Order: sequence, then structure tokens, then C-alpha cells
Amino acid sequence: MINQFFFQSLFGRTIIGYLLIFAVPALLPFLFVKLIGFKGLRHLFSYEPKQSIIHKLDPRIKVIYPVLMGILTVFLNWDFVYILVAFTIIPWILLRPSRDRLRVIVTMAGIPVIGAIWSQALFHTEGNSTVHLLFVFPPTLTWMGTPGLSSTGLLYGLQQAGRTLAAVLAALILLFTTTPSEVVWAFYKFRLPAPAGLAFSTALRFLPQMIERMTILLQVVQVRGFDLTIPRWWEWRKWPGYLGRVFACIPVITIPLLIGSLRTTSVLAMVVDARAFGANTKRNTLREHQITVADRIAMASLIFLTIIVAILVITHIGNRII
Amino acid sequence: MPDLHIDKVSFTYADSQEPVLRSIDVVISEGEFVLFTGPSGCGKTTLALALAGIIPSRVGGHMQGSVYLGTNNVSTMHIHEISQKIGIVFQNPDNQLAQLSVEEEVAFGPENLALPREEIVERVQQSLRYTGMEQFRFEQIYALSGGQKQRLAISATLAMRPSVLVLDEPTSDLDPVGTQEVLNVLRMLNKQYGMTIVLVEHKVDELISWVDRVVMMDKGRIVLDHSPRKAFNDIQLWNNLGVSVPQIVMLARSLPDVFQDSTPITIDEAFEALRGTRYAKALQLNSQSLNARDDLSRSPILCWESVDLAYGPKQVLYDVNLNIMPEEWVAIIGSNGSGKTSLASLAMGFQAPTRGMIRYKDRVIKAGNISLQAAEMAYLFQAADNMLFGATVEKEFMFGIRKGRKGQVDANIAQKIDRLMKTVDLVSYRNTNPFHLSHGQRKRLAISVLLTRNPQILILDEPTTGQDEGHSRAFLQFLQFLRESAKYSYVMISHHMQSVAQYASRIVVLHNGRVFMDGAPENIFARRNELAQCGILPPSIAQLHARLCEDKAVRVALSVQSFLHYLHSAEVTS
Repeated sequence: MINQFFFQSLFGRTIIGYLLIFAVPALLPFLFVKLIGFKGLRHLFSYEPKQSIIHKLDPRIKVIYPVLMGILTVFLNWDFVYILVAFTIIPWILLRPSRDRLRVIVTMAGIPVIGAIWSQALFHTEGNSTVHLLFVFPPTLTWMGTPGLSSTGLLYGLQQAGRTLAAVLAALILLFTTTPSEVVWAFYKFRLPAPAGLAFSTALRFLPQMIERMTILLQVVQVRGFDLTIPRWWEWRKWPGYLGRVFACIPVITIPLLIGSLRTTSVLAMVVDARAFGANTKRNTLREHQITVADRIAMASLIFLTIIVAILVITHIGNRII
Repeated sequence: MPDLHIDKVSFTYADSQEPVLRSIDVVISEGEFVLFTGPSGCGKTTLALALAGIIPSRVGGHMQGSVYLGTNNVSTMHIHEISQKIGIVFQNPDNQLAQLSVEEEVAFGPENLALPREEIVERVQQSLRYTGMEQFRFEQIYALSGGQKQRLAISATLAMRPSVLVLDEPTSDLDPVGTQEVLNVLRMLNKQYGMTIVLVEHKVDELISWVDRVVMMDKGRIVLDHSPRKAFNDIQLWNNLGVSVPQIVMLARSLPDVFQDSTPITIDEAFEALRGTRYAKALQLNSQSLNARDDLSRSPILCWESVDLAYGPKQVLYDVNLNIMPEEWVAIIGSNGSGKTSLASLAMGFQAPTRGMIRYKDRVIKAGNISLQAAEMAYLFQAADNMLFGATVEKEFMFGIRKGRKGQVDANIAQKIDRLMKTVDLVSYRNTNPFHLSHGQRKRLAISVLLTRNPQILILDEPTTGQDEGHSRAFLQFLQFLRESAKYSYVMISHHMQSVAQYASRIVVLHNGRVFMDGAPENIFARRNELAQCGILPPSIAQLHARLCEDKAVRVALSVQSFLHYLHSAEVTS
């Protein structure tokens, strides 16, 4: 009976269709807030001090690593991309991040993956004749411009997600294990502009402060009477008003947030100038990174991986079919 | 080390017509410790920026005259060259630290100078030693206290090896413990290492005994330049400019038979002069009764009942039981990290306690329902500028009304807004952008917009931070006036003990997350040794009173007037 209603009747199929379209995208922000929350935002991209092998690696390797992984994933086809993803998990095993950070990593890597897979499942219509639909949308959903949820789309989404996953996992290694001065040093050694390195690392250094400021501003607007109390799920009449207030709140807090950040930046700029940053073309460092066995192994692994990928691509074994 | 000569310096900011500095001409000798003070807007911060060469090289405007260090014209040098001769430390330590670890922060300057590694190491060690920060060398900056962060900022400046250190209100964001840490470092740098210190500060009372010279500015000019003892020859000048005169100096002027023409500037000096006199005996006679507590039969307006709060494994509050009575002005004091702001944030519903509950009258406060709570309780944040969002003063009043909960708005809100504007003296600024108002006006606007929602109780988080004495006093008097006219209750978090002594009707001392003391200010400030454990220094006059009574006084004077009253009432009694 239920089966017949949901899968045979137009009304039932429309309900299922709407759920498929909106439930997953709606779940993603919910998952983000549940897993990370506002307080977790301040740890999103910040350095986590630890005495791990990964922390001690040459900062230059950690700067190269996400760039290289990003490039390699572009050339490989999807099953080999997942081998690359497996490779990016190795540093995390060696790092053993704290539970809080693990939650951030899973969220930051997982949410784009789910989003990519689902959007492709709904909208990947390439080679329409071969598309296998797991659920065919009823005529009431033709406005969506997609025939339904396809298994081909799911598979394609999974392939695309592998690329995102490898790049995100590699980039987070750099962010979580490298201090601003190491980033500046690496940029200097690569003959890249040191100010770019400082800007990059300072932005990350001040991100927690900015999130702290945003938390206070959100408290301020509520103290001023702006109602941001989240309605219960069954209080459906209150939800449109709540969402409207949330959107109205964004410009309200953005301006003081920007002004506060610019004030901080202007003081920091004066301090950095006074510390002679950029005054000399040469620079020295308190600690010169000594190449260790771990660095050699890491570098060799990256070179080996690049050669393997090159062979796979040249021999058309693992290259991406465009 | 050469002298520092500010040679007829005038400066006008690019977006202004009025000069901020008007032909300032001062010579600061090597090894001097000079205090620059004056009311807000007098130009002292601009002068600090000019001394450090940030004006004119980094701040737009028109400058006349020059700053010389010996024969070097600082105003024409590159900023990285100046910083190796004159270092500057700013107000907020968090805004001036660019690295993550202590060692990296201090090494940053020498690294940029491309010095040999051995010298970088030597400079890091020496700078950290000068500020007593060696034991934190390998720590992460986020784990440091406010005072330690400011000492680190000083270390990083010292690593550039300047001979002059300029500090722009380096203690205004710090608690009393942090303030003392920083001031001790400055004194040591000056006395032990002979460094020239130019300090821009409002806290004259705490600094006067440490400095060699006091320079007071007003409207871009120097109006006073004397040694500390001679600086108070014309007290009227200080009062006119709204800069507070140290209590000990005021006392000396009120008791000429004891102090004659001398000007004591420390508690020790005043104590020595008064010890054994009839005044000391009169104080001992008249300082033994406890102040009467409020009528406890009344129902409290706000209660914390067996409240614990923890952030993960870190416990912040332990079993707090506290009642706030109607119309009380309760000051919550304690060092940073003692749990003051956490305690207040629970009352506003910013977060939930891990145990216990908070009640407003008979209602349990639910965390997250902040706007509901705001109808009955207002929270004035430390940075009042963060509380203003409107394009005009009038729109600022309408902000919460338009966006707030239905049913919480008065029918005659327009009249109410008019009345509030009159109360805060902003009627003529109705269509002005809030950020074009003065700092004091913005503060008054921030509090008055909260009053549109009829709160009964106001939580004031450091209401006078960053303001000079004159503005602080004016704002606190305004709060007093509001309280008396509308019968509000206040819960005030403050590090400024003189304000607490003058305005609070009750003090709650928090220490390591527990209520350590609770009572009338006269009684709490009499227990200076216990307060010292919490890093709190009572006002100078209260300390002097307690010492003259050999720490046996049950209550002490909180102002010079009340100190004199104690003396005279004892004389009448005898």
C-alpha cells in the first residue's frame, strides 16, 4: 500500500522527488553546523602544534605537496584518483590529529564530496541515452530540468569527488602543520615573493580572531533585539521569518567585521614594517631547516608518485578520458 | 645614547582641517622615563606615531618640523632604520603579533635584517631575558596571558635593538596583574639597562612614582612639563582637562599640617608622613564597624544557583551561588581568566552552564534565547562601537525594534525614543551618523538603544576601558543618573578599582572561577592582602587607610573625601 503510494502515484512520487532534490543539500549545512559549529570555525584552518614527523618535515615539501596533488588528480582517471586519495591519507595517519581536528578534516573533506556526488547524480545528463535512472522524476518536477536520479551521475560524482578529496586532504596538511614563519621561509627559498607568504600565513593566523569577532557581533545583534533564536523543526511557520532575519543579518555584521579586521591589519602592517619586513632582498632565519631522513623519504615518495602518474598517463593506462 | 628632540612638530591628518599636533617642541634626554598624558584626542598617540617615524611615512597628512635622535632626522628615515633606533609598542598585543610561537615572533625582526644566525639567537635570548619571558621561549602565543603577550611585543621590539622605546597605552587592554607585569618590565629596562622610555598612558596614579617626568598635552600642545612632584603644582589645570590627580597627591593638599609643601607620590611616602600622627589614631578608632548589608528579605532579580561552567576539560566556574538584588550596582572583579565574563554571559543566555541554573526573577534563563532575554536584561559590550549598526542615530534606535520579536515593542515607542534621546543628550544628532559622534556620545548611544526594550538589569562589561579619566567619570556619572532615575540594577565587570570604589554598592571578587569575597566596597577593599592573592590592588587611598590601621581596619575610605570624613568624625567623637 505504502509502496504503491510512494512509487506509483503522482503525489507520492512528487514527495519522494522533492526529498531527493532538497534533503541532501539541506543536510550539508546542518552537518557542517553539527560537526563543527561556530566555535569549531576558529580551528578550521589554524595550525595545530604537535611534535609529529609531518610537523618536522621541510616546509618546502609541505608547500609543494598540495600543489602537486592538485595537478596529478587532473591527469588521472577516477580509479587511479582514489589510489591517490589513499596516498593522501598516509600523512594523516602519521600526524594523528586530535579529535577536534579530525572532526574538522572529515567535515571539510566530506561535505564537498557528498555535495559533488549528489549534484552530479541529479544533473549529470551526459550521454542521455545510456543514463540509468534510479528514480524517475514525475512530470510535476520537470521544472528541475533533470529526468531523475541517475546511477551514471552518482558514479561520475564519485569520480569528481576523488579529485576534490585528494586536493583538500593535501592542503589541510599544509595548514595544520606549518607555522607562518615556515611558510614565509619556504616562499623565500622558492624565490617567490615573501610578502605573499606573509599575507597567506597572516590571514590564517588572524582567522580565529575574526571568527571570535563574528561570534561577538552575532551576540550583539541579538542583544539589540534581533531575533536569531532557531525555531523547533515543527514550528514551520516561524522558519521563513527566521531565515529572512538570518539573511538580513549578514550585511549588518559584515560591515563592522570588515572595519574591525582592517583596523587590526593596519596596526599589523605598521608592526611588520617596523620589523624591517621586505626592507632587504636577503633574509636569514633563526632555524635553518636541516634535511632529514624523513624529508628525503617524503621527497622521494612525491617524485616516485609523479613518475608513476606520468607513466600511467603516457601509456594511456590511467589517463583521464575527456 | 643620544637625546630625542621633537623639533616644532605639527601634524594634520589627510582627512582633517584641524592640526592634531601644534608645534610640539620637547627634548627627551637619554635614559629618561617620560609619561605623556592628557585627555582623549589631545594628540598624544599621534605624537607617539611621529616619534616612531610611522608619521609621516605610513600615515597620510601634512607634517611640519622633525624628530631628531641625536643628529639623525627620524622623520626622513626609512621605517626599518628608525625601528633600530626607536621601537614602538601598541595598545592591543593581539594585533601586533604576527607569528604563532614566542621565539619566532622575537626572531622575526632580526631575520628580516638578514643578520647572521648567531646574532639572531643572541638577540632572541637577550630580548626575552629583558622582559622576563625566557621560560616561555618555546610556547605558543595563544597560550600566553594578556600581560605576557604585551611583554612579548616589547621583546620583539627590543630585538631590533632600539635605544628608545615608545609605548602607546600598552596596559589599557590588560588586567591589574598584566599591567603590573608590563610596568615592572619598563621600570627595569629604564633603571637597569638605561633605556629611554616614552610612555603614553592615562593611568597616572599607577605610574607617577616610576617616571622621571610628566608631560601633559591638550589640543595638540604641551601644557605641562615637570618632574612628578612639581607636576601637581596647578591641580586646577588637571581638573580642567579631566585628567585625574593621584589620590595621594589630593590627600596631601587636604592635610597641609602633615605634608606642608611636600608632594608625596607614593603610598609609602604618605604612610611615613601620617604614621603615628593623631590622624592615624583617629582612623584606627573609626574603622572597625562593618557596613550594613542590603535588606536580604527582598527577592533577588537575578540568581546564579550552583552554577558550574566548563569548556571541554577546562573548568571555568565552580559552584557559583550569587544573587543580585533590585537597584544594586554590583561590581564583579578579579584577574583575567577568573570567570567574570563567563559568569555574565550565562545570565544573558550566550551559553548554558554545565551544572546549575540562572534565574531572572522566577524564570529560568534558557541559553540561546538571547533576544528574548534582551527584553529584560541589557548587555553593554566592552567595545561599544561594535554595538552600532544604523546609518543615523534615529535608525540606531529603530534597529532592534524593526528586527526584534513581535510583542516586545511599546505602543508609544516614538515618544520613548524621543525621551531617551533627550536623556542621553543626542536630540540634535538625530540624523547624524553614529560614527561621527564623539567616543562618549557613541557610548551613551550604545546604552540608550538597549534601553528601548525596557530592561530591568544592565550588564556592563568594562564600560570605561580605553577612555581617559574625564570621559570615564562622565560616563559613570551618566550611568549613576540613569540608575537613580529608572531604578536599574547593574552588574559591572571592571578592572578599574577607583570606578568600582566610587560607584558600586557591592563587590563580588572572583578567583579561579569561585566567589572569593562578596560585600560592601568599604569592607572588601580593607582586605588588601587577600585581594593581592587575586591580583587586585585597591585604590591608593584604601591601601593607605588599611596600612595606617595596621591591616586591622574592617572598613576603609574609598575616596579622599571619605578619608577626610573618617578623620573628622573620629575627632568629633573623641
